[in-house]
Amino acid sequence: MRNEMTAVVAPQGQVRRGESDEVQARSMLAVTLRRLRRSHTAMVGLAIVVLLLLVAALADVLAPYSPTQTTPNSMAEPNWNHPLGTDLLGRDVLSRIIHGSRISVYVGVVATLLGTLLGVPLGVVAGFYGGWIDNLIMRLMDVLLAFPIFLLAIVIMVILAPSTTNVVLALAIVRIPILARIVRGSVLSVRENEYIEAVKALALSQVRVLWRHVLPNCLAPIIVTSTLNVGTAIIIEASLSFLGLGTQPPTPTWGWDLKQNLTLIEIHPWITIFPGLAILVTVLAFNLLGDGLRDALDPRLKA
Amino acid sequence: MKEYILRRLVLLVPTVLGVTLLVFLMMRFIPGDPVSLLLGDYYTPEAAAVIHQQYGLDRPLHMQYVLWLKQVISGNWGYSIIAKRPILSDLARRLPITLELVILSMAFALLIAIPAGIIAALRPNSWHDYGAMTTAMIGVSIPEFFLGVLLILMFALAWDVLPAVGYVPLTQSASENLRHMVLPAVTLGLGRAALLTRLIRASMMEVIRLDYVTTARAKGVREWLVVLKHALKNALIPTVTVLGLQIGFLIGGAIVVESVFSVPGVGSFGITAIAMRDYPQVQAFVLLVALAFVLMNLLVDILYGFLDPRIKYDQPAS
Repeated sequence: MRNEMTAVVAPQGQVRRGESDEVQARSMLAVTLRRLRRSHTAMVGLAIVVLLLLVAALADVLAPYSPTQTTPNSMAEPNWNHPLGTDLLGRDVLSRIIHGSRISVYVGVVATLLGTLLGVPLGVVAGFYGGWIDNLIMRLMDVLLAFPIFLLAIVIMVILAPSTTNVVLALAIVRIPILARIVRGSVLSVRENEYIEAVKALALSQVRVLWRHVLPNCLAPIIVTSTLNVGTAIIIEASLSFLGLGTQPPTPTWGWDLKQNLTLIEIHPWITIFPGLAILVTVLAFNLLGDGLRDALDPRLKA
Repeated sequence: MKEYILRRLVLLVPTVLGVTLLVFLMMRFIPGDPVSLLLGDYYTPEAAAVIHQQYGLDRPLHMQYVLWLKQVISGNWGYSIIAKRPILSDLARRLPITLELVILSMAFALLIAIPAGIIAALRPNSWHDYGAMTTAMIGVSIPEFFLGVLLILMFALAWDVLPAVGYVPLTQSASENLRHMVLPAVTLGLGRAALLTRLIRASMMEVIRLDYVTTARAKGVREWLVVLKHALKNALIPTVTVLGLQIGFLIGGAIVVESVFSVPGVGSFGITAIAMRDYPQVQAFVLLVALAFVLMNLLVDILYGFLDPRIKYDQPAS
């Protein structure tokens, strides 16, 4: 990366800071993508994630039946009409799983984005300004982190009524302290940089300093943890639904679908297995992608 | 070392106070009149007056918190609406069961993760390595309740070697107790084992490359001694730093696992309380679990102090 920067600066013999930042960003992206492409597991993860997003978007078209349409044909074994069978109320399991992906994708992605949007500014402010602001924010984060994540999610769902929107809120809130800590750490490591002192001395506005120079340094850990967090969010959402604290029926959701037919598991195990497999494959995909991104963005590895 | 422990204990106080404050406020955030929340279907004007006086509901909020905190410290953790008896006795009865589950799970996780991680690190890119890493990857991606259901399908329903649900107290029969705890502990432990295997492998691979390990080998120290005595001790330090977070996941997972396997511990107590809207029970449940987590983090911090000599010797001269 340094070589590329020097290559930009040296020939002209002038220091064009703005330009070198952009070139650096572009080349960083290229390097990252090249490294990512090399990892087979990351590419598999990416493929599954893209497939999942397509399935969630096109659920109405792809699902052979309505997910909430009850029929008298209950507990049918997997057959040509119903490839994954039907549940206790005669609803097609395949259609419910396809539609269930919508909830999982929505909750996973939106909760992660929302948590990032709220947590990053907190971490940046705490790390950049330091002093009592830093102390106040970090003590607040510590109190939140004193609760196990799942317990905190449960508590928030008890206070807010169980619903998809509130699950998103709960998962976003749970994510904030971890993200704030990570970002604050990154900011602290950059703040002492003389480069920042020089830019500050040039009387650039503080916001501009944060946006152009401090934030890009935090980008890598944010991207990696966000990708991995989508998987975690999906598992927590499914667990909340399993306990009856998440999205309410009859909306199809993988966690609740696994739970509601649990009593019939001896005779009809597939109804519990298929939603579970859906969760496993989805989370696995995001984890593989996140792992690949972590390796691709690791500055210690050579390109 | 003593100063380190003392400092940790002192830092514990604001954390515990923060936790109690949040739990107290949590009950206030639940929509609805606090008195009817506390009494549920057993609302009568007389009972309401008692509650009003006991919790000081006409006083300012911070006074209510102090009153509530005093009660908690003196052992009054509220009355269950449904069961109509003090909550603390129920919790005290269930706590050892959950503790047994958590300890067994952690033991199982370490039993799997340490050898698997070491072997994977010593034979990188072998089938041991790929096998361990693939299993670990699946282990961190599978939700606990699904894994529990799969294990029930295999061991309880298909092969009928272990019971699916229920609990037998240790005092009644140790063997039956263990038979009933195997599936829940394995379910809970496998997820942690997966993550710990990846961690141990990564840190072992770093430590093995260090000069002091090469020196030990050159000195003729036997390989197993090099690995176990010299490398592993240092490789475990990063593992211990994330142990606190892992315990958090373990506690959260225990809530779900107790639900799947009908283990009569603190977790299933909390879930039932939430379903029945027994808010005094819910509050006591949240308080207990949060405080237990804080305490476990403290123990992990102290353990870390013992493992990492830099902490011991880094004390400022008094």
